[in-house]
Amino acid sequence: MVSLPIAPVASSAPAGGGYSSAQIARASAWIRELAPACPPAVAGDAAQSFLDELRERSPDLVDRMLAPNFPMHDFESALLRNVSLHLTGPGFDSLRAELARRRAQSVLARDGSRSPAPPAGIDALLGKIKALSEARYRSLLEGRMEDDDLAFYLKRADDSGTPRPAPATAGGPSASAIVAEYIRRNQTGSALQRWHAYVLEARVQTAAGETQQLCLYRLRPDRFRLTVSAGGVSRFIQAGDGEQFWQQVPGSPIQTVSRAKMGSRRYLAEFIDPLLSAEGYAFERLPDGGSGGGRFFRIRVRRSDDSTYVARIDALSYRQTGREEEDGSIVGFSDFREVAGVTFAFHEEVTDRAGQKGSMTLTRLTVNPGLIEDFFAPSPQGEQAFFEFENMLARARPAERPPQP
Amino acid sequence: MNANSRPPRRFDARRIAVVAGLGLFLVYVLFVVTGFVWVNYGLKNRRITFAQVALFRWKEVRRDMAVQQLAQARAAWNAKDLPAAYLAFTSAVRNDPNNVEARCLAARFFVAVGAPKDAISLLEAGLDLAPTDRQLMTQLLAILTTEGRDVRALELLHGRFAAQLAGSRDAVLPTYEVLATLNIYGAGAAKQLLKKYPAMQENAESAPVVARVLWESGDRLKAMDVLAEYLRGERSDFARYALLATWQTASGMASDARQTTERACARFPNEIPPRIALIDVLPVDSPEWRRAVEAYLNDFGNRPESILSLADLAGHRGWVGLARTLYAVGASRLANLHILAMAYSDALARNSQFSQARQVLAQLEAQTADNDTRIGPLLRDRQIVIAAALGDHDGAREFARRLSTALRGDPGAIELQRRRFAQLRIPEAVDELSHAAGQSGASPRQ
Repeated sequence: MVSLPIAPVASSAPAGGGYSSAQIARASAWIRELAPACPPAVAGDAAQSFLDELRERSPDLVDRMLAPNFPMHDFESALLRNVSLHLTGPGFDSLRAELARRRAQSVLARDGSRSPAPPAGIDALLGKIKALSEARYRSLLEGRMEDDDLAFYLKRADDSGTPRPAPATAGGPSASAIVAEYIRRNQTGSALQRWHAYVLEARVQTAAGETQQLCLYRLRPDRFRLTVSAGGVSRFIQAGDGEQFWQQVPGSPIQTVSRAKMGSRRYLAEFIDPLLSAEGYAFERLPDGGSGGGRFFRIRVRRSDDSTYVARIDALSYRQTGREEEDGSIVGFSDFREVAGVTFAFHEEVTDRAGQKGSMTLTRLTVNPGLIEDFFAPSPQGEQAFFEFENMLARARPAERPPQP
Repeated sequence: MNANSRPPRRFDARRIAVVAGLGLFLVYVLFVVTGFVWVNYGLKNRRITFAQVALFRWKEVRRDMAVQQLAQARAAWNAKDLPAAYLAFTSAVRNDPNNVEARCLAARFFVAVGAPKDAISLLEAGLDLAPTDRQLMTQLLAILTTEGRDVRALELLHGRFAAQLAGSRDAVLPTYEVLATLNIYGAGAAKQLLKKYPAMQENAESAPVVARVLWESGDRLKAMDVLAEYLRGERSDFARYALLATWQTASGMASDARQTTERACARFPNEIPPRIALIDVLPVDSPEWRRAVEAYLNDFGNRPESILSLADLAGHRGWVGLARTLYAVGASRLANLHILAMAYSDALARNSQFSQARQVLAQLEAQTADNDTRIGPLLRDRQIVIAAALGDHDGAREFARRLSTALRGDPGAIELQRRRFAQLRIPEAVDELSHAAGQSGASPRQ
C-alpha cells in the first residue's frame, strides 16, 4: 500500500531483466502457442513479467524452463494471467474472455479433487462468478486475480447452491490476528524481505483538477525522495535522508524542512505500509464497518509518535480497501496487483473532509532498481543541475535511430 | 461362360490392390494437403508451393522457409522485437544451415544483443559444414578478438585455420593473428610476428592493427600517422576515430583530438559515441564543453542510452557532480539504475574516494539478484578493484571468488578477467580466477 498523503496510484512495469534471449524467446513462443491471437508487443511484455514472476517464486525455475522436462502445465495459468494483465487496450474483450476460460480450465485441471469440467461447464462457472461479483469477474479478465483466488471462486461458484456462512461479527479475530492474516494474504512467503528499495511512478489528479506526475523513491530503512512534475518538468523535490528532511524548487537553494512542517508527508519515510511491516506499530481493533454489502475490519494503527489512522481491511479478501486519516479524509484503495510477491493497490481515491476528491494511479512500480543513499541526501551543489538537465531533456528532439542491418 | 453365372470372388487380388492403392493415394493426398496447409497457414510460409510439398522437395521447402524467416528476422530486429528476431534467426539457420549469409547475419544479431557466445557457437557450427569459408572465418575471428577471446582465436589460427593462414595471399588472417598476439603477449611478440607478414604493411585494412602495434611499442607518432592515414579513407568504423582521438589526447595534441572527433561527428551525425568522444576531448566545464553537453542532450536526450553513455564517460573521467546529476535524471527515466550507480562509483573511485565508492557498490549488491548474469559480473569487477585499492586483500579475494562463480561455465570470460586483473596487478583476483579457470578447463596462458 502506498499511503501517499496526496492521492491514489497505479500499475507496474517489471523490474530489470537479466534473462537470456533464449528464455525470453521460450516464454514468448509459449504465449504464441497458448494465445495465438496475442499481439507480439503484448507477448513480449507478458513474457518478461512472467519470467519475473517465475524468478520470484524460485530463481531455479527460470534456469530450468529451457529443459525439456520443465513442468509447463503447472505454470500455464500464471502465463495466461500475465498475458491478460498486459492486454490493456480496447478491442481485446473476446481474447481476454478466452484467456479467462483457459485459465479456469488449467486451474481446474491442476486441482486433483475434481474432474476437468467441459467447456460448457467452465462457461457456466465463469457466468456464476460474474453473477456473484462483476468486479471480481473483471479482475479475472484483466489478469489481476491470482490462481489461489480463482480456484477459490471457481469452487464457490461450483457450490453456489450451498448457503453462505454468516459473516463474522466483532468479537471474532483480534487485531493482531487480523494483521497477521493480512500479512499472510498480501505477501508471498517472505517476499518483502527481498525488497531493499523501490520506485513508484504515478499520475495524480488533484482536487483542483490538475494532473501531475509523481516519482517516489524509497530505500530501506527510512529514506525517500519525492519528485513532482508537470508537463515533463520537475516542480519540486522533497526528500528525507534518514536524519533530516529537505526540499528544493527550481531556482532556489536547498531548504531543510522541520518534521512539523513536513506534516503527514514525513510518513513517506515509512518504507512500506505499516500493516505489512507490523513492527514498531500498535494495532487496535475498532467496531467493524460495512459498505456496498461487504464488511470490513477497522484497525487503528498507532505510530511511535502517537499519530494514528484507521485501516479498513476487507473481511473476505483481507485487502486494505481504505483508510480513515486523522484529518477526516478517507482514502479508498482499489485495483490490487501483486508485484514481486507483495500486493499493492494501484488506485487510490481521497475524499477530504470537505468532500473534495483527488485520485492517484500507479503507472509503474519497480523493485530493487539500484537506489543509492547519496541520492537521498542533499547534493553539496544543490539540485540545480538536475533541474537544468531535466529542462534540456524536456526540449530534446524526437529520437532518430539509424536502421539496423 | 456367362459372366453372370460366375461366383462372387470376395478376395479378388486385383480389387484388393485397387482399394489399397486408392487408400494409399488418399493418405498421400491427405498428407500433402495437410503439409501444405500447415506450412502455408500454420507456419505462414506463403512462398512454399503445392508442387514442392507434393514432390517431397524438403530441402527446397526448408530453404524457402529460411528465406522467409530471414526476412522476418530482419524486420523483427528493426522493430526491436528481439525475442521474435531470435526465434526467426535460429529457425532460418536451422532450416538452411548452408546459408552462410544468414548465419553471419544471425551472428551479428547475437553480438548486438549481448550474446557473443551464441554467435561464436553459430559460426563454429557453420565452419563444420564449410571449413574453408572465409566469411565465416573472418567474422569468427573478429568476434573472438573483439570479445577478448584471443586465446581461442590463436588456437583456431594455429589449428583449424592453419592451412589457410599458411597459404594466405592477402593479409586478413595474418592481421587477426597479429592482433590476438598483441592482446595476449604484448607489443614485442606482435612486432616480431608483423615482420613475418610484410603484406600487412601495404594492406589498408590491416592499418589499425599495425598502428596499435606501433603505439604499444612506443612509436607513437608513427602509430598516429598510420591511423590518421587509414581514416582519410572515410571509414565507417567509428571506434578507430575514438582510438586516434584518445592517442592524440594522451600525446598532448588536444586540438588534433578535437578535429578528429569533430570529423567523426560529421561522419556519423546520428550516432552517440562520436558526440561522447567530442565531450571527452573538450576541456571540462569550459563554455564549449557545456555547449557540447547541451547539444548532445538536445539531439539524443530522447534515447535512453544517451544518459547511460554520458554517465559512463563521467565515471571514466571522474566527474562526480555530473555522474550524480545523471543518476538523478536517469532515475525518473530508466527502470534499472545499476549502471548509472556504477558510473557514479567509478567517478568516486577516480577521485580516490574509495570508501564512498565501496558503500555505493554495497547498496547495489543488496538490490542485485545472485543469478543476475548482466549486472553481477560488472558489480564484482568493481568491488575487486575497490577492495584492492583499500588494501582489503581478503575482500578482493572473496569478490573474485564470487565473480568466478558468476562466470562459471564461461571459461573464455574467466580468462579475460584473469588477464585484466593481472594487468591491474591484483594478485588475489588473479589467483582466484586462475583456480576457477583450471577447474573449468580454460588455458591459463598469459
